[in-house]
Amino acid sequence: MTLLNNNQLTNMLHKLYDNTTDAIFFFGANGEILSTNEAAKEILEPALYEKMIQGEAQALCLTCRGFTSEDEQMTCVSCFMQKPEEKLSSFQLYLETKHVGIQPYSATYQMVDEEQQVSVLMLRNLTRQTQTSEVLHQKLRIQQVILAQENERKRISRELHDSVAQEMLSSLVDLRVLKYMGMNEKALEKLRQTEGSLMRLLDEIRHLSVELRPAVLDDFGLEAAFRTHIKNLEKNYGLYVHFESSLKSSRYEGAIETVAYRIGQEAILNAMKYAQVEDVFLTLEEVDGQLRIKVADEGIGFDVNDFTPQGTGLGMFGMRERVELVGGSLTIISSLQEGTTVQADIPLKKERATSENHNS
Amino acid sequence: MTEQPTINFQLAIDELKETLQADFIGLALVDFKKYHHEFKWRYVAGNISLRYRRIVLHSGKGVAGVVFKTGKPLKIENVEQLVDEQDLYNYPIVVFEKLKSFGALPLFQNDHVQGVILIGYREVNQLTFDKFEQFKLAVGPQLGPLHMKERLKDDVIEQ
Repeated sequence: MTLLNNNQLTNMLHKLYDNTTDAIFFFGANGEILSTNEAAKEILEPALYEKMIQGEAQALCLTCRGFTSEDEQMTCVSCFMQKPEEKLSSFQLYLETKHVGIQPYSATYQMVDEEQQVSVLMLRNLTRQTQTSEVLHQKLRIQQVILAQENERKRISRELHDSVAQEMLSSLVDLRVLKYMGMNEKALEKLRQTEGSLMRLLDEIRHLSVELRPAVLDDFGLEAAFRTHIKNLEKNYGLYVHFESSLKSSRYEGAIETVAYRIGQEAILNAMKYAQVEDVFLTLEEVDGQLRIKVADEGIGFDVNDFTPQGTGLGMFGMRERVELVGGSLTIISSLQEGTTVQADIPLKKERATSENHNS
Repeated sequence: MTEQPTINFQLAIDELKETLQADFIGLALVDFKKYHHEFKWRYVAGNISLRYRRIVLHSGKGVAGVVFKTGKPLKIENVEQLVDEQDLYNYPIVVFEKLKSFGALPLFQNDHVQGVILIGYREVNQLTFDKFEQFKLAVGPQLGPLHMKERLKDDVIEQ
């Protein structure tokens, strides 16, 4: 390392001060601004800048919108300027800036001259990083929500199927026994009606359970779950789903099966809601180590580049998030009058960021 | 249970369609002979699709299901205004018969809803209040023992 003499070092530091893109502020004991560099001047509103450099105490407050603490995004509680010795060396600060409004900055604040109480505040723009981390954060959160929802649905569905429906069934059996215990025609008729209502109720409970999360998916896999779902669709909505499957292995990892099932379900629902068709084609196949699920209709289609969704638009978003959860990709091809094809490819190899076993 | 086959339902609803100049009449009945007491659209008049045949109705779901469960008449004078397009798929009969204005009545037998009769038009605002009242009156005699009456129990409670 070459040691610079004092003169050279001063020179260098001055250059750094003038040319860096980081904003630097020097503050006196009362928070009045002693000096700022060009970069700092750049980010501030000119009128505000003029006011700030007039030597007012707490001048930064004119533009500062608070820093990020554990409790709040932007706060003035226990301001970093009050007790610099207690604060972390670096933190996130929000400033009202020229043209672009409130922006996040990574800030350091430290005392550089104890005697004269001079402190320096250095700021580096964080907008880009913040946006990136926010998107990432949001994605992770949505994926967590999806997982939590799936687990909760599974729990309630199991409960309905294993306990409520079972109890109901045994009551129904008791009721049938009652029929042969010698009662008059009137009572028998009433009994038949009750039996009918109970049977419908049992059906409803089973229906609810399957709708939440089909137990067949966990017990018998994708194909069986889809067949059940398709049967229900036909019964409830009169929709025909033509199902073709060439899956070599009938079982996959829980997370993959869940995602594939939900995508299929959502895509079929979309076709039913918007495509104005009564036939939908569903194909399951394995291509190059990937599970491919394809839902196609010959309905009215939509413009994939038009971002004004007919519904909430959440279905589409949810599908994409789900696929990304298992490291797969989603393709949507649609054109007006030619129908829509939704295709999801899910890698079966374990090269994924998140894995969650749904079958446990 | 035993009365059902003795009435010619098809003839009855054909007549209803004629008298009220309706585009569609559907009659959904519970079949007690089936193990599961299947509830389906059994008779239709003026249909443009056969999709109704595939559907098994459930209490509380769809037009027939809601009327079945509540035992109350249901009238939607203007489908376009009153039903959100996104929710329309929950009412399959409205979608594939392209109904724009419809009403449905519960049919009672032994104080239980055993069927639902639906009158539909393919133009909005066709089923007016008066028309629906007319429909209620007309339904009675033609469907024999199943004829419509408001639930007695509810009336007692309300008074």
